[in-house]
Amino acid sequence: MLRRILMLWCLWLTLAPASEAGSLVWRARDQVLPEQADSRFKVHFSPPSLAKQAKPVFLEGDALVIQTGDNESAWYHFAGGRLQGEQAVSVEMEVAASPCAGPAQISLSDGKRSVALYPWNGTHLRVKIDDGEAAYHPMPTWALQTYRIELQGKAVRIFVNGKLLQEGILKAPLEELNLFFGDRSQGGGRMEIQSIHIQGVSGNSAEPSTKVTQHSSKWIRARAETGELSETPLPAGTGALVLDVEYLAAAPRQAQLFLEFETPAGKKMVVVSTGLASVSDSSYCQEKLFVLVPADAQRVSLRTLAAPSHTPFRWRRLNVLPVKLVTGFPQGERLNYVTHQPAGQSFANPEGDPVLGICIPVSREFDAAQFPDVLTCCLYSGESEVCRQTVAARQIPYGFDGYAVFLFDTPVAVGTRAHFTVSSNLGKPPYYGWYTFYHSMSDDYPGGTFLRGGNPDSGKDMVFFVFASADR
Amino acid sequence: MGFVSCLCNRWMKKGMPIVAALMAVVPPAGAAGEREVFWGTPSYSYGERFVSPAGLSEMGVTYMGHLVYWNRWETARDRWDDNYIAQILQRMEAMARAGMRNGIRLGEAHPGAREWKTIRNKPYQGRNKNAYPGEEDTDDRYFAYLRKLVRTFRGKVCYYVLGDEIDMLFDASFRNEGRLREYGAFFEQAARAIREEDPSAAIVVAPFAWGYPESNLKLLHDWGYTKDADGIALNISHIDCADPAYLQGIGEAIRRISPRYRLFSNGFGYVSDRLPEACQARRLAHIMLVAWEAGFSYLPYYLPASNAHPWSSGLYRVNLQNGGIDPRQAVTPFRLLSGTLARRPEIQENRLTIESIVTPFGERRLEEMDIPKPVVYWNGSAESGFGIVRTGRMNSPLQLQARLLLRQTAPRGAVLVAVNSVNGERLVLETTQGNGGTVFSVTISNEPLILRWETL
Repeated sequence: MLRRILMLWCLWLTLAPASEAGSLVWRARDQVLPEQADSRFKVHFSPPSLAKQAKPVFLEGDALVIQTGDNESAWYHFAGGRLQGEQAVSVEMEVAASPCAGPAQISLSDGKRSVALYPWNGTHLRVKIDDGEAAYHPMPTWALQTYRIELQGKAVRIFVNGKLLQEGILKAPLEELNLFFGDRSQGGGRMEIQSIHIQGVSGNSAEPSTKVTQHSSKWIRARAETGELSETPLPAGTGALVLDVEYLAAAPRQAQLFLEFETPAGKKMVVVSTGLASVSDSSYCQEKLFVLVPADAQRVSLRTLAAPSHTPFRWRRLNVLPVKLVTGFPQGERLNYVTHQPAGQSFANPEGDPVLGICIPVSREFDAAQFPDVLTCCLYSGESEVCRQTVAARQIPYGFDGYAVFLFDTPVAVGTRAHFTVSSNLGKPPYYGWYTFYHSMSDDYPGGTFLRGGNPDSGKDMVFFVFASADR
Repeated sequence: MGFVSCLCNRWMKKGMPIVAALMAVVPPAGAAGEREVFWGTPSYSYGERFVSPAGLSEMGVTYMGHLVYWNRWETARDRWDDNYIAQILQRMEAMARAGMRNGIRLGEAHPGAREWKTIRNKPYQGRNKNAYPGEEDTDDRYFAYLRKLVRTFRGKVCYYVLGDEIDMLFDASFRNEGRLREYGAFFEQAARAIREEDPSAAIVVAPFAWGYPESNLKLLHDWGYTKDADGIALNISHIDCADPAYLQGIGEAIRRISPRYRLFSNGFGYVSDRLPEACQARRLAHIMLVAWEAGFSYLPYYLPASNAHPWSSGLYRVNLQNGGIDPRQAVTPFRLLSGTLARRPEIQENRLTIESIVTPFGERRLEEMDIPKPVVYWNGSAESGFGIVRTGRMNSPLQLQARLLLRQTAPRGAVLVAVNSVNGERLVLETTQGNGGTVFSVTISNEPLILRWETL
């Protein structure tokens, strides 16, 4: 037991990112707004009534979204305090900005001098240092990019995705650090921010005022670069892994993930594949994969492989969440459609485990760019809805076998009998397309009943998995 | 200009030289007399604007189904529109000249059954509002119509299919035995009427859409209603082929009931037009292979042309800019596989095997991996046979580098070639001799590879 605890501790030290001294780290995936995480962040609206009317700033998935219409502005200001002479500071942000009438902005300023980056209409990054000529760098700013501004005295260096993009000189060093980001223009637009990392200022001013969700603290960060090895022991009773992957890719199924499990019967390898990327464009993708773990597996080693291709591919994140399988029905013969009426399944939960999430194998048969639907899962205990979660259509593979992984913020108590439904906002087929999922024509799953439009439908059962937190 | 030449020129202009080169290299469907499996389309009336009979023949189509509706011939009591039948006869003759067979699918399932008029609030006419001649549609009058039909088409038609999707449209299935028995009794009389005029007519019965057709057939068989049947019909959609085990199970179950029943399809495909072109082509390739492997002998693709049905994409479509007709990517798998699969399966799974999968942990044997089993086999002899390599699941996103062993001696002077059935890319494989055969590497994905020996 002691050995197991030590191993987990060592693993945590090596894989989990720790807070860095002299720096501030904020990540949207912790589901806490910047102003809640650190009181030095202030959010501003123009007109001020916008905050109440339209909610232009919100968390969506793993991103902070700043979304404005024409004649509206919304931006953040981080007051980092006075800077001393040659003090080195840097700001790094993971940002995607939709092409829009009003440019998104990331800027550092002391009121007299400034360095500003404008993700410009999706195709260029506009860089302006002090009052010099603006430089335009072609790049897909609509995709997620990592922008980094480094200041030391008068010297400015700007990096994108780790590569030096431009150097410049300020007329004088900044006297204080003010970070602005968002839309400060009259035009509307949309900016998604995944993380902010500010170095050279004092650390986070306070603990987050909102508790970080329980499941996010149990993610294991794995090495995502192609070919690198991540290894971790698995908690006892791990029945499945949820993989949270982010990547930039130009073609679907470009990357394979090879997971080698150690079991008492020997090693067993499972292979899963990403499948989200657009066929035609290089795009940022975030996908949740679901991997069933071979029986009694004690340890997993993971390596990734990018399929040979002339098209770009780059990993951005790979996190692993071991979970315990509560129940599920793995034998499906045929596909069915989720469109204008919900489908679902009742299930037994004999040990009364709080439910952390539900996974249904599903694929999408419509263009999510044209119909940006969300698939909604509602979990019921008895007749009462106890929880709901959504998965955006763009996070479900288009035409490939994939998954909708509905991961709840915290485990939900449902008792020993429960049911769930999944529903979309798509119209009746065939006008807009549909989702397909698997079900059996024979009633083989003993613990539940297939539901169609909320009504029991005997003779079928959906392929699904219900999972709980793995013991750690 | 021949159809293939025309297509090649068009594709060369479109910057698709690989496809064009492939079209020029791969021979058309096997020689006459070799065919045991018949590829076709269920109705030419949808497609004649898009592709000529000769063009269909060059693509590997070997027979054509013709939908015939009683009410369109006998438009009112004793009033016959002979132009309607003349058009069908004309199309049949054109098909026959291009070397294709013809069949008839009857547009009615049980005209005399008044109680079939509403099923689940669905009108009796189903999808064809004018398919039935109103109050005059008694069974006896229908059988008289059938006799007239067979006298007209005798010698020109290789089979008659009685009805379509009766489980879905009319609830005639093992879940409603009364209605299924009703259909069985009706079919027995209809078959008798056809055979009175043409004793050698081949008749296909039990046209089902989904579920467990073997359960329906077993009941009809046990009740003695299928004594005259030469085949049974099942519409095959992509949802039936996502996992090949489903259709294979149906094929095996039907052969257990009686090996006499040939497996027939009233249509297959129905791939969503909402999907990207490459995805449609992948699904079509997979469906064709799964249906063939399950033992189906007659396979009409539905439809040759894109139309207003978003749930079933076609092989061609109108170019809205210049008014011409453009092939869609699905033409590539349709042609490649119609030609390749025009014979009965003689699958030898142990002739072509996976030696190892290449992983970032090193090479692994398939038994060490917990993945859906890929489909790998060789069909027929070394000289004229072919191999198939693909993932088992139609929509699998996996792409696996694999080392394969073909237990076969290379024909003299031949090289092993892999043709991607979805995009037509052709690759001459690097091979080595070892382990009692030929060893080579390919990528296994859901874009099926056709392997064959070719003499350059």
